Amino acid sequence: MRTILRLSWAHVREHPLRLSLTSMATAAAAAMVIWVVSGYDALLKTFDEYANLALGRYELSVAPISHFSQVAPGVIPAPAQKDVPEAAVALLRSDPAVRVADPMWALQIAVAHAEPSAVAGRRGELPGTVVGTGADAAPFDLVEGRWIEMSDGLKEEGVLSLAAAEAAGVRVGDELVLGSGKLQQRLRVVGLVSSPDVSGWSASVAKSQTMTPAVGGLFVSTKLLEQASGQSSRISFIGVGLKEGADLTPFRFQWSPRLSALATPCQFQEAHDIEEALDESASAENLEFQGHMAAAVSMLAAFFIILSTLNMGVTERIRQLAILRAVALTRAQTALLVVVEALLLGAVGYIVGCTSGWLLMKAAVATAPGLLEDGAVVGSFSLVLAAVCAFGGALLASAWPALRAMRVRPLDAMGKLAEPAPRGIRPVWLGAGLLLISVYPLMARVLPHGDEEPFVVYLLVGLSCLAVGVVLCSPAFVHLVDRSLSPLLAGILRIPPRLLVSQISSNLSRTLATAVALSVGLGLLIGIHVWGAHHAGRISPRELGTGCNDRLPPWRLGARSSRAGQCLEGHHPGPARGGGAAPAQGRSHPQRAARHRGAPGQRGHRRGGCGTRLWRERAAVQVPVGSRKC
Amino acid sequence: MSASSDHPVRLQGLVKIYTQGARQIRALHQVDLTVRSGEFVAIMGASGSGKSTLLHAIAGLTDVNEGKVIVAGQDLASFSDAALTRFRRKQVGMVFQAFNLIPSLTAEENIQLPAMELPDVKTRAEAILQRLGLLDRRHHRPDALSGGEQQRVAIGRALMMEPAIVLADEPTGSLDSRTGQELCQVLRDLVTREGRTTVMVTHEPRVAMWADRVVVFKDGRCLSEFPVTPNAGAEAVALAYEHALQSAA
Ligand SMILES: Nc1ncnc2c1ncn2[C@@H]1O[C@H](COP(=O)(O)OP(=O)(O)OP(=O)(O)O)[C@@H](O)[C@H]1O
Ligand SMILES: [Mg+2]
Repeated sequence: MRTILRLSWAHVREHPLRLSLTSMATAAAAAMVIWVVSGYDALLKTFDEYANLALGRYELSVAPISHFSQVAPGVIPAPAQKDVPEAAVALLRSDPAVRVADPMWALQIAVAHAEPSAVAGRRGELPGTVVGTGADAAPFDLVEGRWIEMSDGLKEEGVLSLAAAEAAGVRVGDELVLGSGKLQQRLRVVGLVSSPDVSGWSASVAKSQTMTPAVGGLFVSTKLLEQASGQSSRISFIGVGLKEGADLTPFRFQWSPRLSALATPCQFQEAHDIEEALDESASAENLEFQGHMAAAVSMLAAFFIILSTLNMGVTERIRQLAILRAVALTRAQTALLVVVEALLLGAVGYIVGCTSGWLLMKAAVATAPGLLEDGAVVGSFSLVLAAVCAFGGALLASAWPALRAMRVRPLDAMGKLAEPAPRGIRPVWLGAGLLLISVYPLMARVLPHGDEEPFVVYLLVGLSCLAVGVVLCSPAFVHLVDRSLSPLLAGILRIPPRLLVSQISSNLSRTLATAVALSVGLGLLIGIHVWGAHHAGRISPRELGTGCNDRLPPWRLGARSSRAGQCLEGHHPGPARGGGAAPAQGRSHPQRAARHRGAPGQRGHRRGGCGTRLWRERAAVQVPVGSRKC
Repeated sequence: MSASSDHPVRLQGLVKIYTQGARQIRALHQVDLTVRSGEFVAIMGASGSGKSTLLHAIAGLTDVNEGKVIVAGQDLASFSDAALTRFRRKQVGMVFQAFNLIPSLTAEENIQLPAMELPDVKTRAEAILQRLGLLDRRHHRPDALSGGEQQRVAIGRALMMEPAIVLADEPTGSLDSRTGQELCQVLRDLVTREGRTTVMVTHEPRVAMWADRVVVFKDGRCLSEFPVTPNAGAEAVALAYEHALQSAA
């Protein structure tokens, strides 16, 4: 093994430029995995923290089941009554185990500073989601001031979450304006509560997909919210606290069927349900899926890059390998030599890639602090996945060159090596290639397919056939280009045409490998762009329902989402400002959609004009959080 | 003493046929040859007479169609590919006309190559570097060495495992005549001082004169052989070689 390690290292070191280019390319692939997967890890961590704190002083929250059916990507839910029926409150309060059952109404409504000049210099954005409640105690710990006086129905008081207050530069005692136009209500901030301090995009996701007191940035009395919005109060969810000693499990067990039998079926959410719901949410799954795609594409990139380097190395070193076979190495050891070399390249790529991924995150944090909510934290899973990509890609890539190295005979070192004769076009390869290329268009055009077919299958089968087909056809293309363009090029470059041919056609495998590596690189780039734009369209602040002011990570911001973002600046009633913003039209993932509760029955609403109409209307009216009225 | 240690190389009725399309080339034709332990044999012959093929057959680098190759008492036909590699590494040292060093390794590493797994590889290499006068060149890569130095490194590599036999295929072919003679001296010393059995292919009488015996090859056959006396010059060898060729004709 020492011989093999020494030889591999010596060879890798012999071509520093090749080593650095290959490592850089592999490193870029590994860094991409680190970046994407760390983002996913961080998101899960944020969700975990959020889930543990979101219920505040309550043990459970009760919300309509249908609220949670909106989470599949691209799915626009059926119009549904999404409020908890009034009856549920009385029912719950009648249970001796229940300490408190507080109905809460979450609504998106404009909130502004009453006297902007008074807060000049410390003015930020105010929360868009207001929770109207009749609770006699703050849902979260008070960090300053007091809770709203509830004895009088219309107390013009409000309590802000600490994070919202800090972001907006509001202090206890400041005055805010709730609602707009004639209905506007002034209120005084009387206290600050420490609701879960998660911010940014993942917080928006969290708030949009769970119903807990943490959705609110501002708490006011229900009456005040009714006045400011001109609507009669509703119950978005009920915060339920149990008496000391009451056992949660039998309580849930006993109540679950009763809640689902209500006019609007409801369900409990406990901290772990919230975490599960968030982890399984479309956004988390999208990110996870992206992570896997990034890993697969990176592995592919690493594979092709290392393959072409190794293949080149074997071609150049036939004589050396033959000498080694003659004086030192067995066939298996020769193959191992190539494999070890591939692993060395993978290892350098991995180390450089992880380091640069981390540095990239640090740079991102330094330049845009809100971009990565958890700072430059490289998740352990991302390290494992990047290792799988770098080393897995390297191992796969070494198979063919190792096989070639094994076939080298000691005698190949003894005589002069003849120049490989250029091979002609192979009709069988060309035919098979064309046949494979036609699979994808055939699948898309001829085979019937609706929403139900898993598009991943189309993608994998179709694109794999396309890729293999192009590779099979490319020798013929190379020959054709060679024959038609070589004389011209040779004339321009003033070199003998035969020499040019020997460089292109004779080194067909190298030419091919380079072409494939290039196309994979380009494909990677295009894929990321398309993927990013696709998802940016799919998830938009409007769909998240709350936190419209929260930032989206830049790789989700495409043309569509920024347009969608524009339409959401402010929440004033008025004409549709974002009417042109198209809804996410991308294909949904049927399997993923089906995994989410309530997915069946919504299929008819996935696409088309209804979505556009929905968007227009939603942009025009105040939307109760979680409710998606058509 | 056993037959194997007495005669490290025994070839019996060797036939080697190369097939090129429909054409068959008889490179070796019923060759019998025995080399005694500690003997320095030179194989002479015109170009294409089968000298290299014979050497490759002894090293187990090429299969033979008929006959037996027995090296250090082992019939090479009985070995698997991996076993043959291990056997070759241990028992056969090879020196080629084109040096065939690994360009990415230093002189010392090239010498160590067959023995890198051995615990005493460093001391062995050290001794060989010293013996071949290469100590000050040990950290140089092949491209920084002269032709003579490179060939000495190749000889060092061949000696590393203390093989039963050293095979050299035109070792002076790429060297100027003076360096070639120096190298012949090195090979001669190995035989005289260490009793290293050596088979060397050459078509130069000036090189063959360093051997103990010259075997003359023609058209894949072992034509004849003659001993070389210690003080015989190149002319004497050339004359004897011409005579062998003419008497066969
Ligand atoms: N791999 C091969 N395939 C076909 N024919 C071969 C092969 N190797 C050698 N030959 C033929 O076998 C014959 C003997 O070749 P060999 O190389 O043994 O001759 P040689 O005596 O070493 O010649 P030279 O002095 O030129 O090196 C020649 O006719 C040669 O063309
Ligand atoms: Mg020869």
